Amino acid sequence: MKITLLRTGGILPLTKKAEKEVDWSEEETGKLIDAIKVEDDSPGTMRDATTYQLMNNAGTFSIDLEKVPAKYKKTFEDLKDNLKVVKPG
Amino acid sequence: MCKNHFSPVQCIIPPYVNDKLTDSDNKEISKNAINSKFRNYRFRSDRDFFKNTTLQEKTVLGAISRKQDKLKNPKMQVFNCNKSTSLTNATLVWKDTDTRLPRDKDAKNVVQAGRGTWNFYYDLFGRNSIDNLGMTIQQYIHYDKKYSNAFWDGRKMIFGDGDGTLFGSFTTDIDIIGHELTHGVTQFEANLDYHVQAGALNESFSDVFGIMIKQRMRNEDVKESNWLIGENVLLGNNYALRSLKAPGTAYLNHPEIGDDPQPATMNDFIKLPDTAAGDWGGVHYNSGIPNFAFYVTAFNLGGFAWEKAGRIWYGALTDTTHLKCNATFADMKKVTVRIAGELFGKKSLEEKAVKDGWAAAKV
Repeated sequence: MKITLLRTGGILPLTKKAEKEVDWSEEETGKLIDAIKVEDDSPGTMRDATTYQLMNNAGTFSIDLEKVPAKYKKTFEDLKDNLKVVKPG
Repeated sequence: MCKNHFSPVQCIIPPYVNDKLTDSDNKEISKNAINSKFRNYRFRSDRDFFKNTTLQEKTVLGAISRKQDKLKNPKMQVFNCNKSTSLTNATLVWKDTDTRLPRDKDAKNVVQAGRGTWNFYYDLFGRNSIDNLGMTIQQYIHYDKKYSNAFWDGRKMIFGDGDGTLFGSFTTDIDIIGHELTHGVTQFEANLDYHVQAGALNESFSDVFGIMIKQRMRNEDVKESNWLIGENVLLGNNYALRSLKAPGTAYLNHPEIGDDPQPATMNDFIKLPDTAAGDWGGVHYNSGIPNFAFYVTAFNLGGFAWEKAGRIWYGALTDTTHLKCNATFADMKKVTVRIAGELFGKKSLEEKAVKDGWAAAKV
């Protein structure tokens, strides 16, 4: 299964993207998303902040990287290290 | 236990408890509670009064000059995140009681720009820090690995080192540090929503005060300034994050990020979804419109931007009666025109300059 990590926002709003093939089952992926999903991604008092989204074949979900379980940390660290700017337009 | 049980300033007693005490059979307790209720009313009333006074009124009443004698140095702390995203584990590397500047270049940058920002608000407007109550300015540097951003989290400023290819350190531009700190000031004043036009005004206030803070630290007048925000952080000779003078030209044909999309006028207002991916309705895009209105106003008035245009915009930012949290550009125009009239006179050159500024931005 292909997963995509997206980072959006910032003082100069840009979208960055990284993709990776993983061998997670759909059930496993569902549980992971439930664990890291952010229900309310409104800015609150944050200004110029960046946010992360995880995209897979089930949809796009706002996520909190701090909540990623230890088992998946390396996958997400690799994705984060390989984020590339999506050229606008 | 508190030293003075019934002082609403020194000891917080819930009003419902105080109300009960006023009915007490013990005359002494009842008397103290009634006095406390009265002082509480006076305290709130005074606070409301001073919140809505103009700069001139504050000066006449001595509210500014008295403060200036007491406050000499900004309260500030700098923390090193050591490339982690944890703020709780960050190391304190500098505090305002330290006599020397920090060795770390980024720490030094945020201390110097933090002082410049604090002095700007304090010297010109008598403002005592971000919340006007002396809040300690906390700045976090070296956040995350190669993090290309700076942000305000509601209490603190956080700066990344940049990826080293597209962006350098986010502490290298005074205006970015002033921009983030001004988000704090806005939060404690107009508290503009971070969506669509109100959000774009929120961003614009940060750009407007960010550029003035840089201009003042460099002693640049409106003609000497290049009116660019982030001219160092976006790597490359001819790039900046934003231009107040010519929104939409801060970077052109950039190999990675293309062209600056900011509009300068209302005709080109960009409609984007009110989502994180849509920049909450384009708050960093459409801020170009009020930014341009400010630039035209300040340029036509001449001299240093903070002397006239800056006073008018600060008056608007702190006019929480008229500038509501969901304000539109048209609301901001009305407020700034009114404040220009109050500060400099109806039909004054300053009032006309403000009207011309908004007309140039087609608001």
